[in-house]
Amino acid sequence: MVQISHLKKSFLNPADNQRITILDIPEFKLESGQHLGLRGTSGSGKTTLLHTIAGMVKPDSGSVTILNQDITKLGESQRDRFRANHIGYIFQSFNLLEGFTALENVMLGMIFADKGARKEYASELLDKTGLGDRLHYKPAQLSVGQQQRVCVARAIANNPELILADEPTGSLDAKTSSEILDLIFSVAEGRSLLLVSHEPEVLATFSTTMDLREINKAIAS
Amino acid sequence: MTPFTIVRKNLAKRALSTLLTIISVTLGVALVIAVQVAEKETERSFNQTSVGFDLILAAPGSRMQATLNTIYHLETSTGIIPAGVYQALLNDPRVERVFPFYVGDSYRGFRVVGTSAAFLKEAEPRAGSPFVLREGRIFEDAFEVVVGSETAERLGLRIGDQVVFTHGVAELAPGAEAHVHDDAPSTVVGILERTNTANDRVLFTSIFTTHAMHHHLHDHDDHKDDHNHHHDHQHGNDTHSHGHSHNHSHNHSHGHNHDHSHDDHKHDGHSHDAHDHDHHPQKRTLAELEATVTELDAVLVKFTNQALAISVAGLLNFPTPENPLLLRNLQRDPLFPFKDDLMGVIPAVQIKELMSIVGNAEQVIGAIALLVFITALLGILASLYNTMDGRRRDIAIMRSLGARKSSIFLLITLEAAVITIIGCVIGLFAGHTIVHFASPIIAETAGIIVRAFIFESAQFYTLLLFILGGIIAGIIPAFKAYNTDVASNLAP
Repeated sequence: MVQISHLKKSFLNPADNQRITILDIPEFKLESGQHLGLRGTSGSGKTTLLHTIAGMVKPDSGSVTILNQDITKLGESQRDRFRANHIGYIFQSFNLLEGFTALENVMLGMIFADKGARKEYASELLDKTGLGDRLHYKPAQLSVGQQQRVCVARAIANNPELILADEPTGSLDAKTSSEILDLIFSVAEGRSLLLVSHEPEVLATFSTTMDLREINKAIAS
Repeated sequence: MTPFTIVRKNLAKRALSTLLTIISVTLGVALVIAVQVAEKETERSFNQTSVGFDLILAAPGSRMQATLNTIYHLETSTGIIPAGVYQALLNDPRVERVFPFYVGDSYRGFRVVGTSAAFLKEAEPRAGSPFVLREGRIFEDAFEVVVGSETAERLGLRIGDQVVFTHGVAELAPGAEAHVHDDAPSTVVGILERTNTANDRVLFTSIFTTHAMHHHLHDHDDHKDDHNHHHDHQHGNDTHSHGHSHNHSHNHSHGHNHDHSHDDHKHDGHSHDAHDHDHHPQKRTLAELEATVTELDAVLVKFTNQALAISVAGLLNFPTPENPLLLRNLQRDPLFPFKDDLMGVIPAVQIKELMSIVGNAEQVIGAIALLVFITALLGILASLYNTMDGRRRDIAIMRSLGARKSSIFLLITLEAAVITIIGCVIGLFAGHTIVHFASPIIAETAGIIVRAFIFESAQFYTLLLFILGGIIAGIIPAFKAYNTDVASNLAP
């Protein structure tokens, strides 16, 4: 599903005008349908890695191949389109649009993909995530757990083959975390899932885990 | 969900800012549209390529005043001329058409123009377009009135209505009372189709009718104050006073000597007691009655050859030559006896001059409108640009969901377009509403009937220009949005 080869990404440090290497990953693979928990502490480059896999950040070098497509070879708009159609993203802080209802936030996840917005399907997804009675609630009217449910529903709105989750339970209490993890595993069935977290409880729910330091030479050095 | 839903949500999220920007655009559009409508109507009122005659013969004075009075039904007459001028030209072989012109009364603010029935049959208020009756007929008798389209619409006049004229066409002096000819009602017999000229806002009647009113007044005053009254005639910027004797070589039916100054038709407060004159003589034909008219404001002449207008104007306007041969030639002209009573005004020359004045005013107004337009567009730019910093996160979220840079660019541009379109639609109606409410004031002060809620293509081109400008104003903030970095603006 995902194959990373010789991936390097650095950023310019404005303090000393020196480039800091964030990612240096010689090799990484995520099989089709595999659920992988990736352990990463704060500043380990886990968000940058997910952004790079999602095509939101272009690496300095190396390749990121998803569904046999090296997305580093694609132009920005092609990467956007690829992301809309094949990748679902779950954020720690949900990243819902404030002025939009739960239903509209899910539909917003559809509008930029090829299939376009489908209201009934969006309602169905929210129903599946337990928010069937909160379709027209705005984020501010929902609890954090409910907001994350909207985020999960939005992530699978375009039926993506790959789900990327960045600390999805980082803002939730233990009980809600457990519920959200159950939901994520439920919707990720039959899809590839790459979840990064620093929480052992979360990683413990995965049959396969990996430490980011094992693959990211930038941290190891 | 469509891109419009996103735009609507984004605008609603910043409701106050959106509202203020829309108001700014609305005001800009309203002002530009109001100016445009007023400008168009002014041009329509004044810019006549043809007025159906080549020469105005009026009492010496301001040529522009004579033109405004006879063609645009504004201003007052330059004075009274003997009706013999009209009679002399009736059988002049050089003349194709000749029309008398006599004003002095009004009806509810609209002028009553005394002329001949031939004017309504033969004159062409617009080149190649004679008057057309919408209904009824042209006046055939005294105290019959044919009403211009605007007058009929504004006053709700219909065939058969009785109208009672008020003496004078200018404003009354403070404390003065209007003299109403309530003993001499006239009947509406015809209503004209719109000509889009000043003729639309007058009432036409026979010169006999208007003359009878005055004649009657003079007779009446004769009894009252030994006919030694004064008419204060204001000539706008061209105020002049000339002792005007009505003791001309032709026959005066009323046979008395008026010794009054004709500076204006502003009759300040005559007191007229009830009287029992017969205003409806039935025994004589209208032509016979019109032949008794002794004085006119002007005579309008269409020559068989336009060049004749220049030569006749020259005869009247230049000093009498001393060369006996030349003098003898000029003395053969039937107008020569009236040389001291007349000036010749070529309307085409005056209209050109008038249009250059109107054109200058249009340029100034146009420049103001352009500034308003630019200000409104800068308002859109500032409004959207200022929100961009606060919207980076939203833009980054949409980008993370797969929105392309171009989609974000289009969404922001669409926001500018929607704000502009809403402002344009409200502004269009607001502009016309301004014109609607300003119309009576413009009519009163400038004598121009400005019609609101007539939507012409030029206004839509203005709106298109505004919308295009709005979209262009949205491009700068759209570029800012376009370049929003996803990763750095996205909360983890």
